[in-house]
Amino acid sequence: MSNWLRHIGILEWIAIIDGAADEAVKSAVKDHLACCTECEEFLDEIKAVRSKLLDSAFQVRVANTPGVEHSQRALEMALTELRKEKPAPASVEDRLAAVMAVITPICGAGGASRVAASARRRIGGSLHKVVPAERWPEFLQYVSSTTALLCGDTAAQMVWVAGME
Amino acid sequence: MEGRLSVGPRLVLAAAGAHIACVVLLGVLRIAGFGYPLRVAGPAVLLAFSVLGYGIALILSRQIAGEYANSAPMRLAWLAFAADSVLWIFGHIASNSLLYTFVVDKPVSGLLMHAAVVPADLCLLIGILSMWVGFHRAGLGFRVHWVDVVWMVLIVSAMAGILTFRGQLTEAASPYPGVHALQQAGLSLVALAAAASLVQRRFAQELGHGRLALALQFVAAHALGRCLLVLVEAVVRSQGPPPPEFQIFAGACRAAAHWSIAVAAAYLAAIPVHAAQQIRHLKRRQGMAPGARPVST
Repeated sequence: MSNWLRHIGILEWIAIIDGAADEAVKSAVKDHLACCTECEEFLDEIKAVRSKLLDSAFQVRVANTPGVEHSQRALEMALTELRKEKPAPASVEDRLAAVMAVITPICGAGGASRVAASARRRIGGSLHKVVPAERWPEFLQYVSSTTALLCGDTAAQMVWVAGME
Repeated sequence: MEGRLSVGPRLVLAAAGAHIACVVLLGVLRIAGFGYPLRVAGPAVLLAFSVLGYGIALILSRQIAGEYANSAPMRLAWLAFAADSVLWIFGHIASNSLLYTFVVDKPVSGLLMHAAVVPADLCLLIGILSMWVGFHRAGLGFRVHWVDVVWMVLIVSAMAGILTFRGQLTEAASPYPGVHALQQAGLSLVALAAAASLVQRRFAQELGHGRLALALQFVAAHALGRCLLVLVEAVVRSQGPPPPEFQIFAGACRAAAHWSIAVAAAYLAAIPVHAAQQIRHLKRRQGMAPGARPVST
């Protein structure tokens, strides 16, 4: 059975939360989360708890920092937290992978690759080169409109949302 | 997705299985000598299953047509399949033994059935050809293989042969001359639809796995199954009256072929439902506060 079909096990969750998961586990979890609402909801709960813990820890650290350095330390900590939590902008490869991940279950692997190849041709790009970041919206528009022709408007909307993530 | 009929492919396949099981069971009971007590209940159950199958196909096909606001050929295809389903509901009612046992004569029943089935077959052909055009317009480079062309020629030639020797056709002895023409027109349309559906099978193979490919395969199975069944039945009838076991087999195959369009619609109708779930899932992820975004995943 494919990894994305299997729910995430408790040991995998623990490894992910502890930051001890290897790349294979991370990749499998990422693929599964792209398709499974149930695990996504569970992840949301974990995130909410984690966020509360981070806030509480931050407040405790600020409260326990006395004297003149108080404001400076608070600012440093806030900046550190922001740097740590702010996600990096998704690369074109990641976005393309996300789009292919949502198209493949409905159009098949052959259909997904044909849709992507067709969109590459329509923006005048090479079949084997990465789509330039500035042309991503145009590329995504073609992928989405081709998906609409094959699978309908809701599927096309899904592709657009996945590609703009 | 509110207000939509939500019938998954598994449920439709289960209903199709139940229909086929009923066909086999009633056939076996008839061979065992229990046919007379079931002369009303049996056809009524089979009619209910047939109407259920095409009723599901009708509702889902209309829903699917609504999804293709930007693709006129695909919208036309699924509206044609919806019309095919409506007409087949009338066709099943007209051909059910309850009608010709209690209401009208069998030749009248045959006339009514063919009057419904011929336009239904025309709708099927229009639907398959429209899907073909829709795929062509998508510009994905699908190609028709020469093997498909050979099979198309074989299917059409075989049906032409059957029509030439129409003595084996069920309505050959009908007192209504129009029924012969209707049956011939219907069978010609089925053969053309089956031949055209081979292209859909090729598209499905090139798509690989996925719900769309499954839907295409089941539409092709609907057209091909019905056409092959007509050809096999004609060959068997040419050898004399078909044995009861063959009638059970043919009835089961016919039920499977008829349900295929409902299964196809169920697979395709599941796509917007799945897509809407994915959109909710993606939007929830996109709408998360930065502080809540996990680092490790």
